[in-house]
Amino acid sequence: MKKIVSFIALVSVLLTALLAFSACAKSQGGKEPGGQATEKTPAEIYDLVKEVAGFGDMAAYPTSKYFEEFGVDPAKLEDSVWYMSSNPAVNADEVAIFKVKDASYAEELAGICSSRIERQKQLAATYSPEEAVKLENTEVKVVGSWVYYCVGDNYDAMMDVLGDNIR
Amino acid sequence: MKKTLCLLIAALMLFGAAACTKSPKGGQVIEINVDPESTSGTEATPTPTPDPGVTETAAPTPDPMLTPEPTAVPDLPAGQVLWLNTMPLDLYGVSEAEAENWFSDAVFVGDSIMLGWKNYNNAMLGTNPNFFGQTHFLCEGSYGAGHALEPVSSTSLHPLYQGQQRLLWDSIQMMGAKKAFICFGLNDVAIYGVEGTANNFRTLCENITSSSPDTKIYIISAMYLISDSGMKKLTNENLRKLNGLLRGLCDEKGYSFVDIASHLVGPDGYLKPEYCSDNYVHQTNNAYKVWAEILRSVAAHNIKWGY
Repeated sequence: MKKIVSFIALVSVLLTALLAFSACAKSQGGKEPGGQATEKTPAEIYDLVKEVAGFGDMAAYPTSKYFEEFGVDPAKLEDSVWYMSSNPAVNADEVAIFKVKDASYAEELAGICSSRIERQKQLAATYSPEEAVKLENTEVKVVGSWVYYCVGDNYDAMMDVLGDNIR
Repeated sequence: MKKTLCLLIAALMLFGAAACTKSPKGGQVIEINVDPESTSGTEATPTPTPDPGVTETAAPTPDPMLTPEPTAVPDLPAGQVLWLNTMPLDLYGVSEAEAENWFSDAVFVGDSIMLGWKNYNNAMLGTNPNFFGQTHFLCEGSYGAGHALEPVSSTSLHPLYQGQQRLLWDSIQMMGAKKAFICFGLNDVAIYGVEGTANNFRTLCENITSSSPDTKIYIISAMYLISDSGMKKLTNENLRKLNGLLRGLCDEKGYSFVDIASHLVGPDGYLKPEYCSDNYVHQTNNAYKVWAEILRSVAAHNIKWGY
């Protein structure tokens, strides 16, 4: 009986240790023991999104133009990508991934993105019901210092990739 | 038994430690770029492919003072002509970079056709950060000269400037643009007719010059269709008539007329298939290469003669 109790206790300790190590690996959020960041950049995440998106030609929206059109302040961004269809007059495909320097800007930026999507919905309604459908489910996500959204036929798959890589 | 358990514990600890040090995303260490100047919005920008088929459409003229002459196209209805008005930059002694930089204080205003020109510019900026002097845009799909006169509302289509819908002349004044290139027509003719559209252009241009007296107006020709749309009023014939009225407006008010549309049509006067992206009216990157050539020529002419 003593041996059985010891065995159960030992197994419990081992399981706890295993869970702790596993949690350790996750909770560090991709940081090396030395504290070096290993999370992916927006450009790297976009490349992964592209693999599942089934996009046609996409064009990067220049960072230098963010403010002039949308009022997005590039000085408040640590890194970003914003891709739109090369033929935006007839195709609403789009991916935006921003990492802000200060999380306090994330909500404001999310508001700008939401306005962008609403406007795209309004425009798509005038030229293409199919494109309007693509925009129906689009949501802007804020995760810590990250703000992102996507528009495309494979919306769920793209959001899964974004969710898996932005924590 | 104890030895076995100890070995098991040791193995598990090693395994756990390995899990802790392994990158959760494939083990690659990636440095995060914290330089705001290099936020990677322009990486992997698709570069428009060169079109070996695009050639200069007008014969070089030795005297750059000459005003381009209209070119008669046999299949067009009587009285309608195309205007082919580019000349090579070297005739003006102006470099391509000088010509493009002339657009740094310009704004391009328009509808989805102009949106395509904006997108072409954005793509080119990925490889050439000075392409067309990082010129400016106020354009939106489904927009027109008539829409531009409507008040700002939740349903209006005015292009965003600094995140807000504004009247075009207010945005132009805010940005301090010295040259406004305006291209509308396709979202106007079916609604307002040819003369109504021309009148809307007149009002729009007057509003711009009233709020920005130093801004010079350039009206870009309304673009032609690949075939008549089936709409009663939206036909190439009406678009050519509109261009005639717009040319007259430019003559009357001292604006400049920039005919790009005539460079993109075949002998029948319809948009060439190789310049059409949707078998309707929207244009390909090869068409926008032609735009770039014509606009450089316009810039060179203005630089040379100090306009």
